[in-house]
Amino acid sequence: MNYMKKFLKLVNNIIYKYYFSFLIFLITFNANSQIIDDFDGNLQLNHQTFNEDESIGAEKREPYSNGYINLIWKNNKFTAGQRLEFYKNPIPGFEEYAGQGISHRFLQFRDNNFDIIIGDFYEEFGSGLILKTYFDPGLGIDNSIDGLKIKYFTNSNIYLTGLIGKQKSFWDNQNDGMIRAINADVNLNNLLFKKWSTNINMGLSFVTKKESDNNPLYILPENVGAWNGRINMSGRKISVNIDYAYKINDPSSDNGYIYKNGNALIIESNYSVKGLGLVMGIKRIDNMSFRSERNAILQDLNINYITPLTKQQSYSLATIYPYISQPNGEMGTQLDVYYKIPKKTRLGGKYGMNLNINYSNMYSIEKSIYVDESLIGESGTMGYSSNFFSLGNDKLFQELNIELTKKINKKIKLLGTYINVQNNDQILKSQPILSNSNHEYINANIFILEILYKIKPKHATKIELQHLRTKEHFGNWAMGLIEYKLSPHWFWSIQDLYNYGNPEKDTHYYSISTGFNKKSNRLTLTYGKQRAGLFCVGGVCREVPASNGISISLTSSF
Amino acid sequence: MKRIYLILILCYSCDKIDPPYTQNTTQLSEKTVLIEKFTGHKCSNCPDASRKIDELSEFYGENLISIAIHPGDLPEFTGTDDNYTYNFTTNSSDIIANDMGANFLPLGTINRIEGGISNRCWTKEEWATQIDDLLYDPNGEPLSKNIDIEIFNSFNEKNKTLTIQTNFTLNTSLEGNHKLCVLIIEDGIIAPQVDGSDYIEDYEHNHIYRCSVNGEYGEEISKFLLPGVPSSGDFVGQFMYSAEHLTEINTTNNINWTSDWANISNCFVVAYIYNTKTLVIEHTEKHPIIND
Repeated sequence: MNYMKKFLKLVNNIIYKYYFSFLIFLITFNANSQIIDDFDGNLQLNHQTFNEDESIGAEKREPYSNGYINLIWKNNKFTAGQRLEFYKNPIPGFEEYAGQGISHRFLQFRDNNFDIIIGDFYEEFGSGLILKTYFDPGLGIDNSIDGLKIKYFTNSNIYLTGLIGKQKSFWDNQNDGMIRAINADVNLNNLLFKKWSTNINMGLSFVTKKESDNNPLYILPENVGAWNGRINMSGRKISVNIDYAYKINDPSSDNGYIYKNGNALIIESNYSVKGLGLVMGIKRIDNMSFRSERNAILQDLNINYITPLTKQQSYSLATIYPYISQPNGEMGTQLDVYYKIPKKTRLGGKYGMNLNINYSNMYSIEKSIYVDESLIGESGTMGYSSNFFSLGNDKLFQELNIELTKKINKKIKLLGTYINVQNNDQILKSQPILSNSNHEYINANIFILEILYKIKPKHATKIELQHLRTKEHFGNWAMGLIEYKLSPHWFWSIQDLYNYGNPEKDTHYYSISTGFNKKSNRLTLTYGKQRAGLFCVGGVCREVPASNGISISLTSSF
Repeated sequence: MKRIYLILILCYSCDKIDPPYTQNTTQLSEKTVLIEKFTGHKCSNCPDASRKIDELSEFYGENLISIAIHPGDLPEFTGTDDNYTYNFTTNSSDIIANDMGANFLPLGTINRIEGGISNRCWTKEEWATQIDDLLYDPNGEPLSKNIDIEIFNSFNEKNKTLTIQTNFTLNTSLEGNHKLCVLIIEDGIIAPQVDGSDYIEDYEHNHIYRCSVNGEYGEEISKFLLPGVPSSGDFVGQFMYSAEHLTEINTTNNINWTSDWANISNCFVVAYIYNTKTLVIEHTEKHPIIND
């Protein structure tokens, strides 16, 4: 496949040679609106100071500044874009981002039938089981592909995508792995079932990664392929989505260099009528880590994304014990119920009341010794065999959420939440632990009351009271927050997280914040203490060190 | 139809590997590689690294010498408590762990070559490739060693003193200054270890760094040049350098070497020579303290 590498090298050379010329051309004629149809972009700038604070284990560090600006020029069917990023004195986990430069650039042509991108691009096939690349600066994730992507839309609702390129690893895209992928999304109603009221969509994807075998111990596959089939059927009240993926042998550091094939199944169904909504999902993942380099770790060079199938929490204490997707093996369910208790009933009162119950659990998958092998998961073997329908011995996570939302009158609205979370940190090992302690199975009960009070037009306040009770880990937490909002521009808030019953010492994490919004610009200023823990988005997490200092953040679109 | 062809071409380009999955053992190299594995008894992933060392040792035989270091500055992995009472840390190995960049576990240096994930530390998946590159040329031919080292040990059971004589010769003229470092490691220590989610009470810890004999970074080799021998030239069959060190197997050198301790038959002397500027280790030898 040397010609592929040569082709990509040529593409890169063209971009580097002519990209800036093209940008200068666009900028030069920017003032002339006949040449440039549109120019827009967005930026984010962050600055954080770090004071030493022994009470929370915060170290003194040089101030951390980071930011990015996306600039996009459009001219009829052509678009050019780039993102400049900088990271000064990055915090742990972001060290390899240190520096500044153009991290993302592309040229795009788009008309009614084609969408062609040369340069850096993001893509997602279905829910991402075999391909999803995205940018999340908060998590330090940018696994964009540098290469060529062609999308073709037919008139009969068939969408075809083909792409080839190398993934970005921090600032570098010169890693060994090369990705090639095709995808087809088809609306079957327009093609076959024109008279059906049920909308049926089907998708089929195939992704390969090419990486040379330079391992002296093992005979490694240089081309690893994965395919994904999915079908979505949605009627008036019911919808069902089935998503299945399969990956051939892909020994890697994630799976301990075993040769077992991987597979994944996610089924989600929805039922909704007026006042009632039900969502049910099941998920089974077996050996589905997929990266463009075998030895990549943490958030580096992930080709695919495993959706978590657990409730995504936003309250401070509810985010302490999150679930992190386990690509090596997990199996679980989620049930979500929304019910609106009607108005003018005993419980509903004048305005009615919303009830949301969410239950999710996740287990390990069953693993047994493979024929003629002596250990489970031994490197350089098939690894294990697994019964598709059997749960493993370990419960990894379970969460029950009961949430009530009640409008009392025109000024007051109450939100009450109870959460029971069981997090098997003995296995997940995602939580920071105290010295001389071990990872535990954590069982916590969380109570949250949020009060929204509209004082007068444009003046509103929010009060949050939260409590987490557990005998494990760092013990109990209490949290109080008062926020005052002067619409449409200002807000102020003060909060305190109090960790008590901690085996070492009780600690307050107080902070005050203020912010100013105008149009699509937002400036926030915070001073206070932040606990060490995990920052998670969609089942993907990174560790955040404890800190004490000021943080300033500016986001803007133009 | 063209689309179907395209899918078939892509499918055909997948490599399905049939067992056996391992490469054939290559011919033995003359050189040796030292791997310093940074580990901890509370590190759940560290036994995987030990298994990787075993696998590599089986593949490379005597060409691979390993040392296990428990960095004291990572107490969450190496600290002691009621469940993990054995203290594997030493001051000299802590210095090495810090200098090499062992800020999480498990990691390992490979002849202390630069690169890897943290300063000179490599993840276990990278070890094999780095070791292979140090033992064989790009054509797979074994590389010849540029230093010969021989170790002679004399242990006095009564007063627990150990005399170590290290003789060595530079087979080629090496650039820069070099140091000789001598240390003692111990196998067969039975103590608790977490392995994945399991607590193994009687885990066998091997290759444990116990103490340095001549300082954690050793001594200049020039001080061991035998009288009348020039520092370069052709000295086939004759050692150019000879170092003698005396140490004691007692609690001053390692807190676990108490009067009750009786594991000398599982102890080894390791001697290596490295470039003081690049810190890269040129050659390593290992020899048991008794059973000479």
